[in-house]
Amino acid sequence: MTLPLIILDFVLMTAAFVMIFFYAPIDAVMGPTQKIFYIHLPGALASFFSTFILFLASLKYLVKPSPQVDRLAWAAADTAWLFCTLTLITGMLWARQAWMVWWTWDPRLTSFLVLWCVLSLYHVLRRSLPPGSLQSRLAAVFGLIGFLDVPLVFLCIYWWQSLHPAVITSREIRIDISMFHTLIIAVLAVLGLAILLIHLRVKLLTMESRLSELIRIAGDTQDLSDGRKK
Amino acid sequence: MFRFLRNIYTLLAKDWRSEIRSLQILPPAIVLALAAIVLFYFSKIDFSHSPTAWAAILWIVSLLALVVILDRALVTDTRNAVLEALLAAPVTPNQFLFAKLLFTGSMLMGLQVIVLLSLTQMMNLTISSPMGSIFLTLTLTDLGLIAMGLLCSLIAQFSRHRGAFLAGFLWPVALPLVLLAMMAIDDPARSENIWLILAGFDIVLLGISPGLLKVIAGK
Repeated sequence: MTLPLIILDFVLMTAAFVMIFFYAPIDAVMGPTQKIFYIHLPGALASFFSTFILFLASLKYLVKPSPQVDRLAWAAADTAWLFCTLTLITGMLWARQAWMVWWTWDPRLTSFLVLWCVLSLYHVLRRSLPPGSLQSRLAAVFGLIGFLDVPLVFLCIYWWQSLHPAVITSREIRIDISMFHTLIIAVLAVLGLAILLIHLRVKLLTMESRLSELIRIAGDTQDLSDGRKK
Repeated sequence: MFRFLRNIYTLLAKDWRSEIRSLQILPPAIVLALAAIVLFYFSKIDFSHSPTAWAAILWIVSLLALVVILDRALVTDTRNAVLEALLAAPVTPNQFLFAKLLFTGSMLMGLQVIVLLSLTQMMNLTISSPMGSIFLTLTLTDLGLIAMGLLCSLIAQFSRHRGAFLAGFLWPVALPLVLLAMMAIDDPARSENIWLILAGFDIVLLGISPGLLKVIAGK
């Protein structure tokens, strides 16, 4: 499954970059800086997608614990953190050009920062506990209560006046049609990359777990043979 | 039902008796809250232009004090294996959780009253919102904060750097609740909708907390 995913995502990524630089027009107001948008918005969607996978995996682990589901939750958290960081950085680059500041306490920016903090803490929690059932249980609980915040964060954005541009709303699309086509391909490419990263991270975590199991068995065998020699 | 209430009362009495004897939660929480208010006073920020400055200070102080309250409220139980013993005894996770909720909730509400009095009397800040709506907002937000905080505190008890982690776990997940509470105080026209959302969030959290408590304790 890995190779087809890599090939598919490579094709989508290439198409997205070709469209970003050669098909989509340069924005009249922002200039070439506007092209950050084709990474920024798909990055944000990929982080929400990965956070949702984290939530589902955490929930499934609490209902029916299994090491594979635990690895999926950890992999999704890693990927969500990566895309969340990417979105924050590209957002800051955009803000510097559009609003002349690197950061402003806009509700949408603040809510994303909160999400980034929750995802960072998930990693801190994982690293602070020894591998095993306790680590998986506590991480699943934290993954669940961290995700409960997301609807509240969105209600805050809805009620509070936001500076953040909303190019796609439920009523209209406020960008040129060629920009919209480019955005669709970029979203597919970045979501594909998120799926690929989650898949590869799960494989890596499975291999790490097998390796530590082999090391443990080798240690036990060594102890046993040392005992026989004595 | 009577047995349920009696068990909660027994657990609550245990916690209060322990606190009255040791005085290890309330005095540090009050001192921390007052120290924060003093710092705000000497920061020379002009709060007279902001009608909801008192609410911002109240929530900052509450979040600081909540870490002290939650950490100390569970540390004795987890350190002396009381939690495991209680969950093995005929005390359900629901009863344990509601007793802890009442214990920490009464402390936090008491502390918030002290902070509100200090803000109006010592810093001369005017509270323009009606008291009823303020206390409803405080109660609904405190319920969610404490339910979430108790779970975060239990998680932090198992990690290597207990005290520092509790603040780290609690504040980011508590922030959306506090933002909603600030909005309810800032804009009374929206407060009814926000109370409904806060109540819904409290119900969901209180509903899943006993199950999560069992998962954390490994029962």
